[in-house]
Amino acid sequence: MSLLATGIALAASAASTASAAAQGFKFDPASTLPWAVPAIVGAPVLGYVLILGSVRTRRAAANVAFLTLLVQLVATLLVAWARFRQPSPYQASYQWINIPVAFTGDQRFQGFGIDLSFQLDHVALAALVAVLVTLLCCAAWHRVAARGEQGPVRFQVNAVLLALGAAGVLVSGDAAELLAFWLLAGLATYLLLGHRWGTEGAGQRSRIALAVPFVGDVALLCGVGLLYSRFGSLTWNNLYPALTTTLGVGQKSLTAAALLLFAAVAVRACIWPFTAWLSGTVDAPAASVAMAAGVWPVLAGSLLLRTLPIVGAAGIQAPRGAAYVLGLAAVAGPALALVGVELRRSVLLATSGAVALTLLGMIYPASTLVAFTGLLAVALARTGALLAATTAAAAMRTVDIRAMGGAWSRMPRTAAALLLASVAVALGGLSGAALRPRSLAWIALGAGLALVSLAIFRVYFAVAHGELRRRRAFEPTRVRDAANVVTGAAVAASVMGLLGAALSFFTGWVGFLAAGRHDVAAVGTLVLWTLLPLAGAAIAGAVVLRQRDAGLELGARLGERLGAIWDLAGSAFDGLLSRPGQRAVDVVEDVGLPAVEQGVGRALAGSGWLAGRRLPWVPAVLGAAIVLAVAFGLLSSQGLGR
Amino acid sequence: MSLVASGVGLALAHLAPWLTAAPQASPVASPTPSTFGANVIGFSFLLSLIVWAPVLMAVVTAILPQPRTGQTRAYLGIAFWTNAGVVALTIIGYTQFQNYTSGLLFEERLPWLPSLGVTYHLGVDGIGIALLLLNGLVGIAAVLASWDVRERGRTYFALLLVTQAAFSGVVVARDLFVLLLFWAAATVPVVLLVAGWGGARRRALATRLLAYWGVGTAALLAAVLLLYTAAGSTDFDLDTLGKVVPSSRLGTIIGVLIALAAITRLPLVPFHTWARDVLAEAPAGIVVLVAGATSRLGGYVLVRLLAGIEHDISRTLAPYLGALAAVTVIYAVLAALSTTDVRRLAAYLALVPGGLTVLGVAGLTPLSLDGAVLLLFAGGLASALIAGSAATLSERAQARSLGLAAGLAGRMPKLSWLLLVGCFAVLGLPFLATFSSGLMVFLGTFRTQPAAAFAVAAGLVLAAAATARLMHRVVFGAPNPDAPAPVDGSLADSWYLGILVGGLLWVGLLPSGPKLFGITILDPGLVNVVNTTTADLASAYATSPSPSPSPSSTASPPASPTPSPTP
Repeated sequence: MSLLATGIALAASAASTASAAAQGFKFDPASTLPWAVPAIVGAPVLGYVLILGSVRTRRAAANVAFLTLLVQLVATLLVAWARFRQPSPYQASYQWINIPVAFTGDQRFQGFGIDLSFQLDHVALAALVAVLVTLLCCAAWHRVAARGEQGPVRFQVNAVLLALGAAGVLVSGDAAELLAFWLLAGLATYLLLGHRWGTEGAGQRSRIALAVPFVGDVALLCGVGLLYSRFGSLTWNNLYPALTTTLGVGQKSLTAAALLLFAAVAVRACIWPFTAWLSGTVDAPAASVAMAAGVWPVLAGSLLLRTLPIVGAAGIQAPRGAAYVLGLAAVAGPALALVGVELRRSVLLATSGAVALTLLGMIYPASTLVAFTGLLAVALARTGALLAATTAAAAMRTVDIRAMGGAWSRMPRTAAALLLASVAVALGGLSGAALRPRSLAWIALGAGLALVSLAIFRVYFAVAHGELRRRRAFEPTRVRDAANVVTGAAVAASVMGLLGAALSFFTGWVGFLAAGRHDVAAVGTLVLWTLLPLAGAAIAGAVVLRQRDAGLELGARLGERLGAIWDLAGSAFDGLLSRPGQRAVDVVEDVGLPAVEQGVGRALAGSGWLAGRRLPWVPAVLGAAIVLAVAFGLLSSQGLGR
Repeated sequence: MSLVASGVGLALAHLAPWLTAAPQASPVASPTPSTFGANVIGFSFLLSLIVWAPVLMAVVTAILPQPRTGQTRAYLGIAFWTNAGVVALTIIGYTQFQNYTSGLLFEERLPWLPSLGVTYHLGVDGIGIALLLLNGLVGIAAVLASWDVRERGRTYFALLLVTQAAFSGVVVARDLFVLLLFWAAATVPVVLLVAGWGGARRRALATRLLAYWGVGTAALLAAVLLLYTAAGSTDFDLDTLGKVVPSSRLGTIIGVLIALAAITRLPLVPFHTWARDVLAEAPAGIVVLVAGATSRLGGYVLVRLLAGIEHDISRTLAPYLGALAAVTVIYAVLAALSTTDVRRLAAYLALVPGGLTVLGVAGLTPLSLDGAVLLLFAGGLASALIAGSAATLSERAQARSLGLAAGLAGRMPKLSWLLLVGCFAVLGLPFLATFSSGLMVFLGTFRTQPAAAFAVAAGLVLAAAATARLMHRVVFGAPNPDAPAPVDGSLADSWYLGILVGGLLWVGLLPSGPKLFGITILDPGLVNVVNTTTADLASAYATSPSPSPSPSSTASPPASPTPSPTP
């Protein structure tokens, strides 16, 4: 459709660049916008078709996927260069559906259109860079560390699909377009998490990875539907002004829409109590889990940014409800990470608290962009932590943190990546939290910061320090760092995370994201708030380094108890809800409906039998009279005669 | 010889005006031709050809000499090429539509039974052409899915062709009597197909199917006769009867009867038992035909006769239809969650698009009606895909229990992926046709029937759980070592399912058709074509404008997302 136009624009741009080159190098990045912007979404489409259509080998698939992500990143950086000094978003749109559905009635609903629109401001560009770096690190790690993984081509196809969906969500200026790309990214995530076929675990994982997050996806659909039904617009730019100028739309509708959109954010950001779709799928390919864990918080944060004007217009209830949920998740997630000793689950739950903290910070106008930066940092660091943890687990041949240790001496690069990632995760929510000293939210923010730090550093100290013991068929002296590419990917993601966490303290960066006045936390306040993650890290270090066995054993025992409680809850759900429900459906299907059908059939057969017999005339006439009376009553003068 | 010559001359004399007539263009709401090549081809007996050519070929099939036992490829070839021809003719008709054109194209009108006021009146609008296209695609898929039919192939393919002809007849009939005849005629071949090839319980299935469809046909007959009587008319023409405004009580009865006819065929719960059994027991060819085409006629009647002409009654019945749609979606997925039979599970999931279609009709907004019609097309393809792929997969795996037909992705990759796409299509994932149509239904319905829309959305969440269960067991899970050795789908299987996937993808990716320099080429876009009719049809339901905002309330758009209240 637009390929030709893009091609022409590309040729024109190349020609202008060439003519400029003839007069000396004079490159105007703005001239690349007509093709660089569509390339952000177009490159993965092309990569997807290429890999699916013609690539059959592992290396070729990995190369094409890597190249696709690289092209996306280069296009994003070009756009960022071109728009560096312009705070207003770059906008371009192409019609996908545009129909006049009615010629009368309310003007807002006479037409319907969905645009494939690109809206690239500095926030979207930063998010895109974070997502693409995450995906590139995972792809690089997977290329070397997961050589033996089944379905190499399939994996790369799904990774590229995730890149397409994620890019679409981040650049979309239309709610329906966002929904489409959101679902596409969800589909790719589902296929990535259910990647290892042929085992019961894979089937179970795929089930969790589809059904649980789909709750959030449908909530997004309902939220968008509710907004459209009230305002008649799907374009964010038209929707925001209408929030306060459209008469007849009550706070109730806005609150419902805001909460539905927030539900989508919470489920896909994978914060407690919606962590199951990632924490229950940790034995999927590590790169798949890292991709999902790194990409989705950014997408959820991006949706929350778009939802904030709606949340704001909805009155006090919606933001308050969201804040309570996020506050609870910020505490509960890392608290649960302390329970149990499974490495990747612990990392995921600990970082889910950091994600919730940053999302909580985003709800407050003063700290929205600071917290969003923190969210990008946490997402990147989370990826780095997962990749480093998986590398360590592969080398130490266990995912039980009780049996791990000594990575700092035996696998220094991996341990460094884990340390950097832990620092970034612990500091990710700090800048946003420091701006809320007078709000009641400080309770959740403070407790969350301390717990996140405690939970993530518990993992770090358990893996990096202490003694790596000899086990059956395992020789600790053979443990060594993985290939440079593998550790490099983890380190790169962690360093980028740390950089993001550092950027969130600079007003210059926040000013770059969006022009205007931005609050800064006072140095004293910041120092005071920094004590919380420091305290968390210190406690983790003290417990793991001094009372390693007892501390970790306590976690393991609590984890077992929690597992038992979950099993009990599962049995209760099965016994009280699921099985009775299934039995009721079975009764209706196998007994109820056939009985009704038989009854009707017998009645008809009986009427046929009656027709063949001589009936006693009095009851027959009476019966006929009743039937006729009813019929005439129904079709009385108001009926047939009109 | 001279007799033959004079006969031919007479025939030509009769055909001459038809051949020379241009397609009867309809009233044009806005003269904006935007489709390249629209209104170029004149073909005034196109619809008769689409309807009667399959019947003629069915007769040819029936009278062809019987070849040796088991050699049914000749019949399959006839059925295939007939369908290919019908699709080609339908595409010709389809490309003649242009944006903003309302009314009928390719209209034919011949007096048939003047004493009863019955006219052989055919015509096609945007809704009709979408369904004709669906019928063509599903027809080809059904023929290819019947590749392995060896037993009584002649009768089988003849009945297949007659079914398709009856479907086309219902869609293009503009006279309610003719529509009713085709509606009833569609019952017979389907019942015979099920009775002849419907598996071990075929007699019981056929009886059940006949009973439900018979009730629906009787209900539609009663509705048409009541409408005819209420009009005091001597005419069964849809345009005439469409102007009748019966009393509220009679109107309600007519509406209920039409709804009954529709929901027995679509079907909705609790009239779904025939569909569950047919889709779970019959061979793939019949499954595709029933799930993809004939059952969609229920939705068509609902749109055309209820929402299209009985506006007040539609408004009265809308909440009930919405509730029924929600019950259907939720109940079907609950039943899917409780069964352990692959084909039954798929059969229940195939009911979901029907429920969504009825939700769109219940919404009664221009957008939801547009979505409902589009969903007739997309839902037909999705239902046929999921039920057909489950039928083929269980046949190739030689097992239909979730315990046995397990972990097939590695050993049957083609069929597993196609089943996966079918599941995604039922859920309405992008960029399949069910996404855009489902989205239009939801966006339109939230205005008028929010409770039903929320309930159906909740049903979709459960549907995700059901599809996850299907895929967990059949596709991704561990293979059962005791299961028989599975064989992946044949070329014919790949083609027939591929056609359905192709249709879903084409409309899903390019609902408005491909464009070059902003001009539509090749395909005017199914959304645009459908909208040519639904925009007019739905205008009756367009709500009055809301009060415009007062000049004082001019809040400027927030430049950055900064909500005012703080929690």
